[in-house]
Amino acid sequence: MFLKSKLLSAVAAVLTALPAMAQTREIRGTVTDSDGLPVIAAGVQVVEAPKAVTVTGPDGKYVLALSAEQAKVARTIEFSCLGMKSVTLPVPVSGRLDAVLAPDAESLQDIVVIGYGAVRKKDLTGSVVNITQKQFNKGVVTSATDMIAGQVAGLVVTKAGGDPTTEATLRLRGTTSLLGGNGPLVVIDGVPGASMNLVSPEDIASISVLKDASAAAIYGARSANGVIIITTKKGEEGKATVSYNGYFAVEKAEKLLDMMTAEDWRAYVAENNITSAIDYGASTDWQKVVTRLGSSQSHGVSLTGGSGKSQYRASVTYLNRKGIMKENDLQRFNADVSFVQKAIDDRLTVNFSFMGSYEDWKDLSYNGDIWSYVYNLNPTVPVYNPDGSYFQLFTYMNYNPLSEIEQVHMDKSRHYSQGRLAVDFKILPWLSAGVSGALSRNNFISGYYTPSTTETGFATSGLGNRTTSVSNMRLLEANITVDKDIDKHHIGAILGYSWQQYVDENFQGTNREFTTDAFAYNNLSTGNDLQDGDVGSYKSSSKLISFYGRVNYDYAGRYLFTGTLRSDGSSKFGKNNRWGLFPSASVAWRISSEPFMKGLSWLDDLKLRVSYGVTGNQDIGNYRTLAIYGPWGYYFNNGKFYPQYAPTQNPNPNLRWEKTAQLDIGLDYSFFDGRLRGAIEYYAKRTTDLLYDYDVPVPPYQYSVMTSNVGEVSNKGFELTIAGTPVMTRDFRWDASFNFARNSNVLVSLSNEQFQRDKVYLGSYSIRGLAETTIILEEGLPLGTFYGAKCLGVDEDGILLYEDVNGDGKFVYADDRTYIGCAQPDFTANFSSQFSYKNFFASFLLRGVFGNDVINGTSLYLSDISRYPGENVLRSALKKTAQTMVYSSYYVEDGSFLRLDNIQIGYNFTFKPSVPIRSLRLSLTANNLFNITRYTGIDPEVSQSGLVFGIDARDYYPKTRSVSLGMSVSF
Amino acid sequence: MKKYLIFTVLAVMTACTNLDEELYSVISQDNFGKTAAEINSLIGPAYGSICEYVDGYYWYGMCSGDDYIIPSRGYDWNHGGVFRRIHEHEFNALEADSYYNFWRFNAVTNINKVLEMIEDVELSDKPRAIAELRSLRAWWYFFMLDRIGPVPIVTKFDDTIPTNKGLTRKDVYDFTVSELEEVVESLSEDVTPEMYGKFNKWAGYTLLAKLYINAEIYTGEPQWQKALDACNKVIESGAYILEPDNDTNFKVECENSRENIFVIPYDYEHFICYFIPYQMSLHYNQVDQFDIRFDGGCWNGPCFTESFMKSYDPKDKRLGWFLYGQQYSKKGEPLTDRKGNPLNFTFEIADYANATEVEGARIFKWELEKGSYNHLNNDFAVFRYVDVLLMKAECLLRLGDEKGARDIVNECRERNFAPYDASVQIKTLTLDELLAERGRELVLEGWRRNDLIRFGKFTEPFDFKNTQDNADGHTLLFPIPQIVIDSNPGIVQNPGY
Repeated sequence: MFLKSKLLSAVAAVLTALPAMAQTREIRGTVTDSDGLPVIAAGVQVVEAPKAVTVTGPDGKYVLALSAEQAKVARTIEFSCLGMKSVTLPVPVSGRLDAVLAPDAESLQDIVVIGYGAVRKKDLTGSVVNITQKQFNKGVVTSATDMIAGQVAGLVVTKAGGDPTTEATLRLRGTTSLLGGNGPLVVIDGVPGASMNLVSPEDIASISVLKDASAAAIYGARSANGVIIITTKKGEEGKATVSYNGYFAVEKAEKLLDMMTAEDWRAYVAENNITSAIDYGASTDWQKVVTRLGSSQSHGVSLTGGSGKSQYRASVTYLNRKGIMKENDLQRFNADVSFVQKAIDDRLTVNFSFMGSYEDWKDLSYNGDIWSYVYNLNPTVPVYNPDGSYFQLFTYMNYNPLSEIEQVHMDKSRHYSQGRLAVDFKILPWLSAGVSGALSRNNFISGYYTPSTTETGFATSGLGNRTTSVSNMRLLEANITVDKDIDKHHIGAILGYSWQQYVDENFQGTNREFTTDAFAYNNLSTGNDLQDGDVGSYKSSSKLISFYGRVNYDYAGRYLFTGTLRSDGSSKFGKNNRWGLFPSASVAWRISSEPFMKGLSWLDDLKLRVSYGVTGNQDIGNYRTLAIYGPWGYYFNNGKFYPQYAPTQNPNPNLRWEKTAQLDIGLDYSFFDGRLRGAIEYYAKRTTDLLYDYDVPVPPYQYSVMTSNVGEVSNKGFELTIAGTPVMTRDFRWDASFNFARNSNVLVSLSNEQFQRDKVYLGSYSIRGLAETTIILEEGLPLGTFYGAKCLGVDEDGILLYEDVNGDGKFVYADDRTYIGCAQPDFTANFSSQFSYKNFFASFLLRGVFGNDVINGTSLYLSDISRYPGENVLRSALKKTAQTMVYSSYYVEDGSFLRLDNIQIGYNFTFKPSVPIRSLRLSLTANNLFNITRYTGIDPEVSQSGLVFGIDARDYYPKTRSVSLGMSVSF
Repeated sequence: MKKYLIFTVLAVMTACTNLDEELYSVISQDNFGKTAAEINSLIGPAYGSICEYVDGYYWYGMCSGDDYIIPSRGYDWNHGGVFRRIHEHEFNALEADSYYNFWRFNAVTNINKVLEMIEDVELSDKPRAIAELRSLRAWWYFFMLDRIGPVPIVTKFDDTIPTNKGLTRKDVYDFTVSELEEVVESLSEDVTPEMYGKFNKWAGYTLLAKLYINAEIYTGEPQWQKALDACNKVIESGAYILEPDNDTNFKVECENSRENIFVIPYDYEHFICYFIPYQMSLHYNQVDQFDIRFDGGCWNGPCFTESFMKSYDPKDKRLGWFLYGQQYSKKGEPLTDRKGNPLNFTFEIADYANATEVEGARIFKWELEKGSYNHLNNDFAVFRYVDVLLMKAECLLRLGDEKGARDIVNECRERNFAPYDASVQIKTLTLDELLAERGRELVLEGWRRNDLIRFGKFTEPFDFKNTQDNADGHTLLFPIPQIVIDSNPGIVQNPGY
């Protein structure tokens, strides 16, 4: 946080220098806002002598003492405060100088958190977007991801379906990698690699998204997909405050499928004289049977306070979500404690923080088929037998979903905690050193039990499993920072070392044939069929060691340069390739500060920046480079089976870093006192040495896949952000923001000097009955390209016609496939607004994704009229002719959507100072109130993770629509 | 003092940049394979690979014959029509990746790796161990020679990227035969439980017989006499008999069968691949018929052609290896299909592109154990004595001894009839009759395609295959899977693909 420290160092310099220095001049005054209220903690600084600095007190008053030397050069004084527009006034003759600060639409002084530090927005040279509380999404927001969806150009957040226990997928500036994670690196309060769920939304102060290489390269190793830095709220100096923040929401399915009802079924059977159809006698709406009114609630209490020497903050948050599917519950507790203490004339700062979360949930996605049973089942099948037990058909894919939901246990819980201690010491006013250590522990346990009375458990007469795993992370960081002004030159630098170790351990046990289901998974020894392989454990570890440095230089705030270099060593790579070097450089030219632009009073900021850098990716499993033996099944000898050992993989000792080189050109602008502002950016990313489980020849290799560095992916894009404050009067204010992002992704190559190939077929078995490739990886095409038959239309009998691609006069599926769509969007666009009128406030976010295709597997399967009346179909299927179903472009639909993600109205109550309540805020929020789309399934927002994505695979958990009532109050 | 300081600094520096990996639940290859138990556990995988014999490709590949088919039943088992294309011999290298991948070099490479590993270690009975490993390798070579033909010959575990450029099917045949001839006499003659599931001398001679009897197909030059001699080696050993009850060979525990020569000891708990004939074939609703615990239920897929089913004499006990007609629940109630029609399996299949749920007879050859899991515990016989006898009969017939051949075939048939009277005895043995008998006896044991090719019937029309195969004969070999060619440019595809 070098700006803050710059300010503090200046303050410290003044304070320490005071007794020694003979003061020759004093300037006093009061700083107020446009309403005449005092501005507390405003900075007052002599422009010509930056060390002459002070801050205003609680009454807005200040006293600035100048030495003779300072008084000699002092010409102007700058008054500044966060959220206010700075004012520079000439030094008065009288010694009294009052200032009035107007609110700033968006202050260029705003602090933006970057890797290992913070800068003022105006000094940024890289592409960084900082989201603070005001912009955070409203309503049912359960994680940091939810808070920033739609707020950052180029960051696509996808939440497929409405299951509260699943997490969203993040993609920043496209997909770069073929293997492992494509999501950004998450850094929480300086600890890289943390889980977003560790921190409650209530505790987040700001989220920075580092988009370009210059910003991200300081995190070298893991930053190829960008970096998200989460900064939690800290204690503030002043009166102790207790706050409550919470909401209660109800949710229902946004849309359900229009399936045939039992009445429709009977009418159809009668009309068509189908004598063989079995009417099980009931009228069951299976979608209704498994769903309920969902709810979400969150309650957080925090206390903050502190003196000049120490500040603290502690908070506890409870979240409870009940999904719209029965028993799909999640609850989470978060605790966050931070304490900052200063000592040795404020030169020593000790920062202690502890974050913990405990969550438990019932996971119904273990059996991804539950929704397909719901959509599949004949509507005349009853839920229960007359005796109250579950009615079960015991036939494949026709399981009673309610029986599975209510009888099967899949209980998971996680205890995640992270503690960090950081010590910073200011050796000299411009030089400080810091050491920090962090530990985190992620403790997971699950219990699974399927009783003999279910369709999944009857085969084994009950089956129970417990799995527990622990991941421990240890982090040690040390760095030295320099921050110095010499005339108009400003130099900042950081040099650091980081050591991070991960150890993962796991233990699991399974048993079968339980005499009673009463114990569920809690007493596995009561099972009678313990088989070989039912008990297992593993342990693995990895290490990442880094040296990093950054230099910032600016001349008169006009010409800015940042250079970073990080050297990362990862134990995951081969001995000769462990160390990777990740450099970056960026330059910025603040055109608006040039003398020749001085006359343009409407121009606040115009900054052109260019950056180039290399970032890395090491997101693969441990030990891939090593020749290792592991247990590998059994062999038979003289009537008995013995465990055998075999090499478990093709070792690749040459494995090395995947690298992404990125060029970014951006223009930041701000006009009319920040009333119109934003950025335009172009970037080009090229990822080489792609880590991929590549098909290799057998022999010479023992296995047909090997983790290798092969190929190249390119992402190029354009981003535009226009934000503004169209209206800003004393009572009414409207802030609006629009962002647009376009990314074009191409798989440039799938070969290297050792292996050559131009395509890989992916995605078999994603839709039952269609064990086909759905996606092709091919040179020259984007990732997520759909590959299948091309439908030319329908003949007079309703039979779909397909293109004979190879022109041999007949349609053969395997030979006549072609490219029929792409799961990646052409562009994304979002529009948000915040309004305030007197004490009322309102906001909304429209979130849009355009030009992506979705395979509507739900329709493909449920439109097959030949399955009717044995199983259920969509109402629309009746209009279709029975025929062999083929995966074709007929079922590839436009997945574009524009969603009213959230809309909120609220009121801020004000109180007299005599009332102990400081603030009270009530709000009403609706999430996903409408979604404009041409997609005919439930919702086009389907999974975007992995290489096989963009598929609605007939097990879609409907997205929800919710209304919530929120309150925050502080004392 | 200064020295210590330097040491300390160096020590700290090393610790600061130490990236060595620590292993916990896996072992470095440098630290394993020192003791006899460890070596045995490493030789294990060479035998472990036999598990892969009955995999998904095994069943799908068998659809190319005239007996076993997987009709599309609406959506179910359609897979874009691939199973029908296999039956119609419209093979395709891309579909081979997922449906008929017979590239078995993972097994070969495994064996090569083990052979290299034991090169320098002391082992009791090492010549026999090496003979077994080389025979197993030859067995896999025979497997590939038969299905995909000219594959590269690889006997070492090293970095050389192999090629089949310039190799002929005959080269692979010659290699396989010479390997076997070299080691067959070193194999164990033991037929006690100790050798159960292993490759003994008689398995070696059966494999040689298989190679010689198909020599004309593989090389253009027949070797009937050599095949006959190899069969006689097995027969004269006296180690095997025709089990009076044919079903003995398909029991869950068939260690008692004196007919099975080489078996794969499938075991639900330890040794599973894709030996799930019942899960694939039985109707969804037959879960109620048997005392079975199939995870995922039954799938109502593969069945048999009408012509094949009708090739059995109604009195043939082997009809008990199939399910047909009305099926009943455990309680004796007639079962229905999912649409409510009686679950009455018919021989007839009207439209195999869209068959009904009840069309086609289903397999019931292996004992279905009480409480069976989907992966059967039954052992699978790769070589049976009856096959050796039928091969001998074939050699005799082709060499002109019809009477000798006929007697053997009648001997093999006798146990399947009660009584074995004139009405069911074979009076004159023709090649067609012998092919049909092999089909009836060895159904689903994996020999049908091989037999049809040897008897010249594979390319002819049969049920649901209306046309003669392309005259270039390319369909006599499956394509090499595209995935193999994509990953190794040194591999040349078979002609016609």
